[in-house]
Amino acid sequence: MRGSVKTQMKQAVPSMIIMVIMIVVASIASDRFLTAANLRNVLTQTAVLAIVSIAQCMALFIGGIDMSVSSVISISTIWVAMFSSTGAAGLFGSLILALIVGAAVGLVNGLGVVKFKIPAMIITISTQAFVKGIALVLMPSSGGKVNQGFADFMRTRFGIFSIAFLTAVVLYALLWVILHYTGFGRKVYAIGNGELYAEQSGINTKKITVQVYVISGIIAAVAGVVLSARISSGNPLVGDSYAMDSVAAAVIGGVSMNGGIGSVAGALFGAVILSLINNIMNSMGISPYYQYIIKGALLMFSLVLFQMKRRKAV
Amino acid sequence: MNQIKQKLRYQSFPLGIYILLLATIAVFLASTQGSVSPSHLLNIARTAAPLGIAAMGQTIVLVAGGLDLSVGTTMSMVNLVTASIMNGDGSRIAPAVAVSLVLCLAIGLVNGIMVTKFKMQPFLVTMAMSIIVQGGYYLYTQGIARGSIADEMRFISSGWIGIMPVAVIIWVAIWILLSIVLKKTIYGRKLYLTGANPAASRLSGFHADWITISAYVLCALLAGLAGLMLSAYIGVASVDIGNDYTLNTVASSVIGGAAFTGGIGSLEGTFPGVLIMTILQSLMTILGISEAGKFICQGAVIAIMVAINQRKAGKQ
Repeated sequence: MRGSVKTQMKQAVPSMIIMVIMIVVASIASDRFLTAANLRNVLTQTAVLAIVSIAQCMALFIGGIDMSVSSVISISTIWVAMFSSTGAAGLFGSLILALIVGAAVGLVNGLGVVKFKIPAMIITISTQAFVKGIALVLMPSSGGKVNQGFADFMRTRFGIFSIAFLTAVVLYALLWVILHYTGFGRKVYAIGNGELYAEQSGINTKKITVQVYVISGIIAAVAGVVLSARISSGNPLVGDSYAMDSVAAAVIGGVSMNGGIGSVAGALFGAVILSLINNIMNSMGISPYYQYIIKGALLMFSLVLFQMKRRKAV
Repeated sequence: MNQIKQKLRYQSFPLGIYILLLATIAVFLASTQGSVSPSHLLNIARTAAPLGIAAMGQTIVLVAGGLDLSVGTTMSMVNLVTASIMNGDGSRIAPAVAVSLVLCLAIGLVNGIMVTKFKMQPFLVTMAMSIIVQGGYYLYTQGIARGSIADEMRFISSGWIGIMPVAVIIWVAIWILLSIVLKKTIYGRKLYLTGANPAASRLSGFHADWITISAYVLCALLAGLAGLMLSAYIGVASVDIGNDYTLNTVASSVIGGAAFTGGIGSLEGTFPGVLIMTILQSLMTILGISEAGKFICQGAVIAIMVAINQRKAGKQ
């Protein structure tokens, strides 16, 4: 059975192995790596990328892509920075505003895909640019102030885990259950495996597609909120790298860009791998500029790896 | 009347986009209230030349059914490499240009081979390539831009022959040459066929893979030329100077009618597409919202134009 949980989870195995190898190598190469402080740093840094990667996975599962996540993250940090410092009411207002804007961007993406038949990448690149423009109007450069209580709360630690990372873990658990064990999740995978067949078997593919983009937008907004607590300010460009990085994390984690294959668990490993590259190179004292080359090479390598495997399977 | 309509619908010449260009120019002139002279417009065209040249490459790749997201970083790389080798010395123009273009050739070859021989998504391959190129020039420069462009070379951007800027002459010359190649040669036919239907083109007996690879190589070389033009325009080395161009080339091609399904699009459409993007951006600068407005009009223009194109394609 192609759609079973076990087969989908298998896609995440290579990324898990890479992750474990990286951890082993890093702890041998540097004695600073396996300290609680460093591990906590890695996990906290991973949190935002991990959360966005869920959003990206949702879109990738139905055979789409969501490039607008980067701008949704940026504009969410701006809402929080603009309104949250006034008090509890402002904080909750700004959080809700961020989620609503995220959902609205997702709705535009979804409607663009199903109503106007615009390729997913194009409509999400346009909303990315559009929302980035609006973010720049709202806040031309980094500024504002995030509610101190909220920032402290997100930094609260339990052992090596911060609340920020736990938020990511909870979201992963939630989405993992939804995608693998509910009717909605099965429909998402069905659309990814063949939209026409899904439609013929009675699935309202248009509705599900719109829902997926809306959820993706909301999750990206959550990532933005978590990021705002970390940087304690709003920034119209802070999310920029996350669109590409989230796709990279998902692909390294075994999610297919053609849809229907992979699991969110893989994306989590992918996100950890990407953060580890950075951290390991810093702790080993290698020029940070190498990380770009390694990131790109790793992405190419995973593409070749999965492509070979899948061609054999077909 | 019906006959004319029929004719227009099946005409490959993208008349609608030229009407849109005229409308954009009219709006630009109206909103600046006559303070703009014809030479100002030519100046805008001069600054549009790097984008214009790079966008032609993007269109060729889109026609071949691909996508090249490494255009922007390739331009940045060319800027840094050329400036550092040349370092303001006119006698070193030739090696600087040669090294840059050989690097571009390699980038295009790798992109093309990865996409065709390993059957990987163009989007991901060129994105990974973009990251690698960026890392490469960060390592090369250690994040500090050094060097400058020789005055002799700056002529291709700042010079004027008669009333025409040299940059525009070069741009239009390349445009005419490539248009002829795409429309009138067997290679051009093969390119369109490969993009429209890769399977059929493979069965029809020519090396469809090498046509696709040649499209990526052509795109990388044009990006290199655009990088040289951009370097000549700014005159110094500057890290990440070309990165914004990636999306702009896609936007310009899409405005000009290129589709992501392959086989659709033309350089006659891309030319006004580039001018529309550039004029809208200068308009935003005049209105005082250059940075934000650039992104807003990019986003809105791409979405609206693709929606219109999809509508039209659906009707046919």
